Amino acid sequence: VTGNVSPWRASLRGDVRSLLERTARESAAADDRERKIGAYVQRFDSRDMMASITAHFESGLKPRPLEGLTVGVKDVIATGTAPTTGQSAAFATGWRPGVTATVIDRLRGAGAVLAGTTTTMELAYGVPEEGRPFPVPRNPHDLDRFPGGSSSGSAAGVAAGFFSAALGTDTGGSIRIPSAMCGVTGLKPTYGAVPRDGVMSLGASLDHVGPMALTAEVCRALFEVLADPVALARSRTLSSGKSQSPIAGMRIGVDRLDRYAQGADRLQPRRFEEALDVFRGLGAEIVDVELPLYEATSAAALLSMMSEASMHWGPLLESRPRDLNQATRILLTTGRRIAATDYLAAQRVRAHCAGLLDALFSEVDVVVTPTSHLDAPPMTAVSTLAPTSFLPSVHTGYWSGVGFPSLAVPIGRSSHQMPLSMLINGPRHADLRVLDLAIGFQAVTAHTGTVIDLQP
Amino acid sequence: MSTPPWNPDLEAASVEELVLELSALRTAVHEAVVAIDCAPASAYPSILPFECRP
Repeated sequence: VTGNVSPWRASLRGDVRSLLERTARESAAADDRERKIGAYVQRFDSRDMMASITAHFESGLKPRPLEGLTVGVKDVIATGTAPTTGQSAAFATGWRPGVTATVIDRLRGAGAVLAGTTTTMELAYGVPEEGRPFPVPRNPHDLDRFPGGSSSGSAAGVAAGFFSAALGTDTGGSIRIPSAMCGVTGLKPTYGAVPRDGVMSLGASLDHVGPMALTAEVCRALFEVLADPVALARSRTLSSGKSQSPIAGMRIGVDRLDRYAQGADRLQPRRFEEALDVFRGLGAEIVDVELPLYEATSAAALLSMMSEASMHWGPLLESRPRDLNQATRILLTTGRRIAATDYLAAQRVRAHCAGLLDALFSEVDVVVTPTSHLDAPPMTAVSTLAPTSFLPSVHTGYWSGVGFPSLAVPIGRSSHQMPLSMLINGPRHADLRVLDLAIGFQAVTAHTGTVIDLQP
Repeated sequence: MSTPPWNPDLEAASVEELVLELSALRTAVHEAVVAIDCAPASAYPSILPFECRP
């Protein structure tokens, strides 16, 4: 691993040459390993990327907040340059050509350099299939294992060192699950804090766009660029305001969620307790809490996602079923079987749970849980006929249901030497608070890094 | 994970299995709603597309 210091920040502190060298190393890593990992749907020309970096520095202007940061973009977000496919044959020539998402405009305006579009589950939903005109993403830590989904290529590309950061989308865990499985840091922001225009919809009441990177420090820099100004101002108000020691004196609620896990890696409990010990060592108070309505809210989030996805993509299912993957057809067909009464009940639960959590967050600053009790499953265990089979031990859906910020942070290795992860969750708009907590954690631990050492 | 052949019967069976799995989720949600509906704060549900509190 490359250690705790963000390589991009280190480059930025140097000069344009160090940024160019960094980009060249990332490009060489992709040359070497992309065929095996499948992180890219379309890779952009690294010479254009480096020319873009050079042009700004030669103009004599000061570096912008994300100057020279290479970013992979999940292929459900319209870049305005490459076709947006959603990794679906139905959109092989591009979804909404000419559209550029606001988040892309913000990235470019802040000096970020797009590295390419990244692989996903079809429509951010299904399961990858061989034989389609798209790469099947694999986990850089073990090519025989799943990278998680649906922001698969974004997480895999960061872990493999192909780019320094990525954009993902998260409806039920699609930023945090692949982040956990690939050992990177990923933020599902507060619902609505980051604009999602120009982004393919899956579940409109649950869709989020968010940053992924090796470290929370880079995710924080990205969030500050991506977030709407009002949301960012509210988040600053709710942050600890102690950037040097954000953890000392914090009250951290912990729910281990063991009672809901169906299977756990042998080392997961130990890694999770070790992470809590780090917080204690940094001066935090650890308090056991029980998340309210956990089972019902997780269920409500899944039912809502499946209903909304079937509403949105139902016409496509009817008109072009053979262009869709098997898993996508199964999920969309199933979603149409969810009754309106079930959907309405789910919304009641979500709203009520958010109120209960508001009360809980008056007692604690954040709540920490495992992201999943399991590590990345073997590729052979991912079934197109049972696309939700790995979900029961994953704990991301609850926070999607209420729209509160939720950050996946690596905590060490499983019994298979694969990454494990915790979720740091905060009240609505406390995105910077959870990021600062993770920055403090990552400053004294060494669980982040690329699979290949990219340092010179 | 190779491209599966188009098999509507097999997919229909998977859909039925998934629908059965969802029934447990539906139960969890509806049981929660029964409890929520007893709470005074639930008199005016917040999912309506308009403000209905008096």
